[in-house]
Amino acid sequence: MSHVLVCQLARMGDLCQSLPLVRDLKEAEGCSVSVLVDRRLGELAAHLAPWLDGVFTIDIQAHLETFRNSLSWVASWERLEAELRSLRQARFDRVVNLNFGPLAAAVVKTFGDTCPVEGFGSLGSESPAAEWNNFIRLLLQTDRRLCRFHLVDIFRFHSARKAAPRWSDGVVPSPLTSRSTLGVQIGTRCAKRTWAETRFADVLRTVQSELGVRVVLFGDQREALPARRVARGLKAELVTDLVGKTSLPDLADALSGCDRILSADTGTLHMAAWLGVPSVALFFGPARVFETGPYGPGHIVLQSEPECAPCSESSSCGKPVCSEAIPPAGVARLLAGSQWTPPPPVVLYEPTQVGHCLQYKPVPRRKASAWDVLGLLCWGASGEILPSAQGRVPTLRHALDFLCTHYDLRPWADSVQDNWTDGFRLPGLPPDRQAALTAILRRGWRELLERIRNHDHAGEESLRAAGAAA
Amino acid sequence: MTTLEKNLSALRERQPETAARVERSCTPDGLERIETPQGFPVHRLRGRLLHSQRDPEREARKQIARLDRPPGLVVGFGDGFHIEALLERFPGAEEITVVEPEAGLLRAVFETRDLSRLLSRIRLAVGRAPAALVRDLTSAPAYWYVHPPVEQIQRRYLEAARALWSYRSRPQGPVRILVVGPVYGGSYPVACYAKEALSRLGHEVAFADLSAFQGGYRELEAWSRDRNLLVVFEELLSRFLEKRAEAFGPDLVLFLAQAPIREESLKRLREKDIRLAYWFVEDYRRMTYWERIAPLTDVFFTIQREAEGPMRAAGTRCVRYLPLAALEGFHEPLPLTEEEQRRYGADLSFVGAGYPNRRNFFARLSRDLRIWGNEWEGAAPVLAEMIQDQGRRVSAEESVRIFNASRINLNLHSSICHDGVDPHGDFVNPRTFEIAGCRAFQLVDRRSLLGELFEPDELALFQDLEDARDKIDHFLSHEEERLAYARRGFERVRQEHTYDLRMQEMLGVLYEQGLRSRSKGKSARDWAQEARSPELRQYLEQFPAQGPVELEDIVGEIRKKNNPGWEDRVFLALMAFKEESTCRGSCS
Repeated sequence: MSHVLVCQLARMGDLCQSLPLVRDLKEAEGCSVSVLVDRRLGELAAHLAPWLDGVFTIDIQAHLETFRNSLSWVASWERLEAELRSLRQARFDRVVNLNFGPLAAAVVKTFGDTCPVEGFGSLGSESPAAEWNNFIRLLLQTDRRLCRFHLVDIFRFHSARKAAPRWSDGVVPSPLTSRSTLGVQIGTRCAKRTWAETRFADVLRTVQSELGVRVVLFGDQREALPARRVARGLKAELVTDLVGKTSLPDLADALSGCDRILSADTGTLHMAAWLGVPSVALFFGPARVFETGPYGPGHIVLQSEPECAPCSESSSCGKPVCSEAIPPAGVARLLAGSQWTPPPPVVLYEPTQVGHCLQYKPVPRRKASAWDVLGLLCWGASGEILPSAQGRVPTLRHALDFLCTHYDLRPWADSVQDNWTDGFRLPGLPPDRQAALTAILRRGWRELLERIRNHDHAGEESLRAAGAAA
Repeated sequence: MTTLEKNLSALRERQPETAARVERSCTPDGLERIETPQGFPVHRLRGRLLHSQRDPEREARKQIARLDRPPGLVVGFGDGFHIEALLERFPGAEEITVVEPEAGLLRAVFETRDLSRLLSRIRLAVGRAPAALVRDLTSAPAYWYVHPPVEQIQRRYLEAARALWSYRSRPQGPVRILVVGPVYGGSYPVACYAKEALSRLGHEVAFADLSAFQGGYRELEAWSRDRNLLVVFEELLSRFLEKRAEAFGPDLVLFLAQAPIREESLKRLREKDIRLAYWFVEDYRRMTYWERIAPLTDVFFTIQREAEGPMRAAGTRCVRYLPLAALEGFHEPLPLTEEEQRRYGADLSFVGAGYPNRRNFFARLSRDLRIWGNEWEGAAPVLAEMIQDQGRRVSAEESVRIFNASRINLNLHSSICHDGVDPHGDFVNPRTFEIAGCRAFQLVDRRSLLGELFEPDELALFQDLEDARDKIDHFLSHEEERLAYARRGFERVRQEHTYDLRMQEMLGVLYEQGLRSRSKGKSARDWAQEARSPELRQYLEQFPAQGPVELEDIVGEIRKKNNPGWEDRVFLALMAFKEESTCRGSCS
C-alpha cells in the first residue's frame, strides 16, 4: 500500500479544504494517508478525519516567534529537527505539498530525498499536477476573474481517482424554524472580508423575531467583543455565545449540531462545509465564490461583484461598497427559506457538480460577462490541453453545457467579433500550450455560437407553435 | 570687482559648487548689520550678535587662545573673525572644514568683508543638511569647535549634526532594541515607524505590540471611571513587558508615549543593566505622567524644547529635544487611481480627531472642507456634512492617500483650551512631516518650533481664521505656488525629517550616554554550548570557535554545497522560518 503525506501548513480553512483530497487518496486510491499540519491544527485534523493513518505536526508559531522575538535559534533548530526526523523516519512513498510559498517548500525538501515531492514549490516538473498548478497560477496572475477552478478541485487534481461524490444537485436544506439552530461566525482574519456587526445584528434580530431560531455565535478570543455587541441586541434566552470558549474539536462538534451556518469566507465556514452543514455565505472584497465557496451541497452564497471586485487583501479601501451592498433583510429571507433575488451588484450562487468538479451557478440565470465566458472556456479547455492522468478533469463539453444552462449568452455573443478567441493570450504559457489553448477556445466559441443559434431557432419555433395554437 | 565677487571668485577656485550655492542664496530674515568702532562690520541674526560689537578681533583671539590644538571642524562661519584667529594661532594646521548651515548668512558676510585669503586655506560646507554633512565627513575630526552663537541661533542643526556624528562613529555593531508602544492611540503608529526605521538601520529589533490588548483595555476603560481597574491592568501589562524584555535580552528598551510601564518595572529593568529611553511624543503640559517616569530613564526625548527645563528639574538624567518625522517609503508621493482620486480627493481636506478647537475653527471656516478621522461625535450640524464616513478612524495608509489626493491639506494642531489656533503652540505634529513627506501641499497653523525645522518657503502658514480663509482662497487659485511649496517641503523632509534620521539621532545621543551592544554576536562555540543535541554540537565544530557566527553565515556555507546533508537541510528549513517571520511580522 502506497503511503502518502499531504502537507498543509496553512490555516484551518485550508486544512478543511484539503480533506476532500485526503479522502480521495484514502478511499479511491486506497493509499495510506498522513497529513502534516501546524501543531495547533493537529488535534482538529484527527478529529475531522479519524480515519487518517497519521497526523504529523510542526510548531510553526513557535518557530516564527523565535525570530520575531530575536531569541536564540538553537532550541528552535532542535525542535524542528525532531519534527522533521519523525517525518523522515515515516518513509513516505509520495509527498503532496498543498502550500504555495517558500516555507512549506523548504520543509518538504528536507525529506524529499527519500520520496518524490509534488505540488506547489516542488521541483517535481515530472509531476503532471505541476502543469495544472502552473496553468492556474497563470490564470490568477493574468486576471483573477479568469479563474473558475475551485481550490478544493485544484487540490484534488493530485489524486488519480476521486472518491464518489457524496452529494447531488438539488439538495435543498430545510428552512429554519423555531426548533432550528443557526451558527454564526462574525469575524474573519481580514477586515475586507468582514461583514459589519450591525448587519449581522439586523439579520439575527429578524430571524429570531420571525422564526424563533436559536443562535450560536462562534469565533476566537479576538472576536469576543464584536460578538458580545451583536448578542446584546438579541433575545438572551435564544443566544449561546461560544466565542473564544471552544477548542477546535469542540467547534467542530458544535458546528455539527447546527442546522445552518451564516458566515463570510472563514475557516468556520469551510469546516461546516466539510461536516455537511449547509450555509448562507457572504463573499465580497477579496473573497471569490468560484475559488473558495463552501464545497458541497445545499449552500447559498451571496457574492458582491462591484466593478472593483475582486480586490486584494493588502490594498486599501475607503468605502467598502461590496460588503455594504448585501442587504441584511435579504439574508434573513434566505435563511427563512424564501426565494429572493439580490439587487446588483450582488449575485446569488449555488454549488453544482459539473463532471467531477464543482462550479457555482448563478440563480436565477443571468447575462454572461466576458469573464464568465472566457473563464469557463479556459476551465473546460484545461482538461484537454493539460495532462489528464491526474483524475477526472473538466472538459470543454462541461464548460459549454454549464454556460448554456446557467447564463444568457446572447448579449455577450452580439458584442464580440467571431475571432476574438485568437487574440487571447496567457502570458507565460509555453507556446505549444498556448496554441492548443487558442485552438480549443476557437472550437468552443464556434460550438457556443451554434448552440445559441439553435436555441434562438427553437425559441422561434415554439413561439410560432404557441401563436398557432392561440 | 565688488567684495562679494572677490570672495566668490576665491571660493570658486576650490569649491565651485559651494560658490554657486552661496551666490544663489538670499539674505535670511532677521539679519542686521552693525559697524564696530574699528570700522568692522558684524552681524546680528535673529536677535543674537555673531561677534562682539566693540572689538570682534580681540574677542575671537581670546576665545581661540583657549584651544591647545587645532579643531578638525568648525561649526559656524559667523563674520569670520574666529576663523582668522584660528589660522593665526595654528598656522601649520591641516585644512580646517568650516560648516555654515545658512548660505544666505555667508552671502551677507561675503558682501561686507574681503575674506579671499582666508577662503584659500579652509574648506567650506555650506547649507548642507546635518545628515549630508555627517555622511560627507571623510575622517573623524579631532574635535569640533562650535562658534558660540550657533548654540542658540542654529541649535537644532547643531544637536542633530552632533548626534548623527555620534551615531556614525559608534564603537560597535548592532544593538538589541525592544520597542514598546502603547495599547492604542496616536503614538502607536510612531512606535511602528520607529521600529521599522531601527530595523532598517540594521539593529536587532523586537516590537512589543500591545495592540492585541486594545479590546480589553477599552472595555476596562468604559467600566473604570476611577481608573482603579485600569491601573491593575497596566500593572499586568508592565509585568508582561518585563517578561518580554527578559526573553529578548535587549541592550535598550525604547518606550513611546502612553506605553503602559510602571515605575517598579523600570527600576527592575535598570537593575539588569538595560538602557531605557522614552520618546514622549505629546504635550508635557497636558500629560504630566512623565514626572514619575522621566527620572527613571537614561534619556528622555521630548518634542517640546520648553519641556527640557522642567524635566531636568524633576531629576531626569538626560533630556533631549527630538521632533517627529515621516517614514520614508511610506509617507511618499503616490500615483492614485481615478477611483482613489474620486474617493479621497478634495480642494480642502483635514485628517485628524475632533478636538474642541478644530470643531470651533472648522464650523466658522465657511469653506468646503472634507474632514476625515474619528472622535467627531456630537459635532455642530454645520460640520456633519463635512465629516466623511460617519467619522470612522482613518488608517495610516488611507491618510497617505488623502494627503496625496487633496489640493490643500489643512493642518490645525489640536488644543483643548483655545477656539482655533493655539497662539502659544510650540511642538510640531506628525501630520506636518507626513504631509510634506507625501510632497503634498499643506496650510499649517503657526507653531513656535516650526521655524527651525522648515524654511519659510517650505510650508505655508496661517495664524488665525481670517488668515486661513485668505490663504485657502489664494492657494486654490495659485497651483504653481502650491506645487513649489510642496516640492521644497518634501525635499526638506527627505533631507532632515525622516524616522531613519531620527533613530540615528536618538541612538547617537544614547551612545553618548553609554549605550553599548552587550552581545557582540555569538560564536559557534557559544551556540554549541547552548545546544543539547550532540549532532548540532558536532555540526557547529566545523565553524571557527571564535568570532561571531550568525544563522545567515551557516546557511551561506550550506548553499555552496552540492549535496547538503540532513543537518544542512534542517538549517535551510529553519532559515525559511526566519524569512517568513520578517514577511509576516510587519506591524504596519
